[in-house]
Amino acid sequence: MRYDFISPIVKAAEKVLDSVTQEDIVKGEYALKRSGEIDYGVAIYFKVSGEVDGNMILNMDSATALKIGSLMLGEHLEEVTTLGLDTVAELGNMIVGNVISELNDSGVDMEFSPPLVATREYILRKTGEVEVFQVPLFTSAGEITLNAALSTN
Amino acid sequence: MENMATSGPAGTFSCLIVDDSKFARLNAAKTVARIGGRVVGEASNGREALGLYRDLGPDLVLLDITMPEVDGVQALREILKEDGEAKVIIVSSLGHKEMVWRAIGLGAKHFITKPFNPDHAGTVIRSVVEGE
Repeated sequence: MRYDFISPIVKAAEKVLDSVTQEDIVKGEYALKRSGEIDYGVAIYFKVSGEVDGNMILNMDSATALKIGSLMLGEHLEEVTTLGLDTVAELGNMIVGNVISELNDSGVDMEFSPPLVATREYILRKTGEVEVFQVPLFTSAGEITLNAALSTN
Repeated sequence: MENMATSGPAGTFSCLIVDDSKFARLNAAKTVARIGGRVVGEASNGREALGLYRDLGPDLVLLDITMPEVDGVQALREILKEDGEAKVIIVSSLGHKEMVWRAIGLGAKHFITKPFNPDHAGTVIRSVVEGE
């Protein structure tokens, strides 16, 4: 894992969530886990490639996904619908986009795939057993965790 | 694919929105309506976009750069081959700078980054539609 990426990752995630929720985001304690230990809940998966390889995953529980989806859409969602998942995927797209942009600006050439709403099984199949850096971010809608497993090629 | 107009008042320009994210299309439609434009169609990938462009002949296309099947750069090429005067604004989350610059080089008129700042997006759209 490239630990020098932690600061731009956190900065980019906070910036987008601040903008979306219009409130200050509270950072939780960073953690390092093995991918198999993580219960992903509602997960948005991104493959990262270029000078740095790996993946980034945004995850949250269903209640948070509902609230964030409702907030972004400006309407109350009663259940996690396709539109709700799509909305959360777009949130992930904006966060990871900002992360990649920050890293590109610091001279690291990398790009990312379109967002994919993924199951835990799919994620583990794609990532294998790897070390994952986690940043929990607390919003009024609930906890959103950014997971990153990035290493230099 | 969808072929529709927003329910707001008739606008001064017609717009085709192309994005694989329904949320992003909704957001873009709100911005277009806010500045008096009219959404005449929506597409979720580049292949649909070309078909709708041919059928509807919109004044403006808001085109996402990363989409499945046919991406924004390829869709832009096809639209411009169809109509060299087409006004296309690229919409992209950050992190796709190279693709955005490639699209500008190919003939896109401007770009807007996500998350949309509605005022900035409105200004960019207006400037392209009015040919500034």
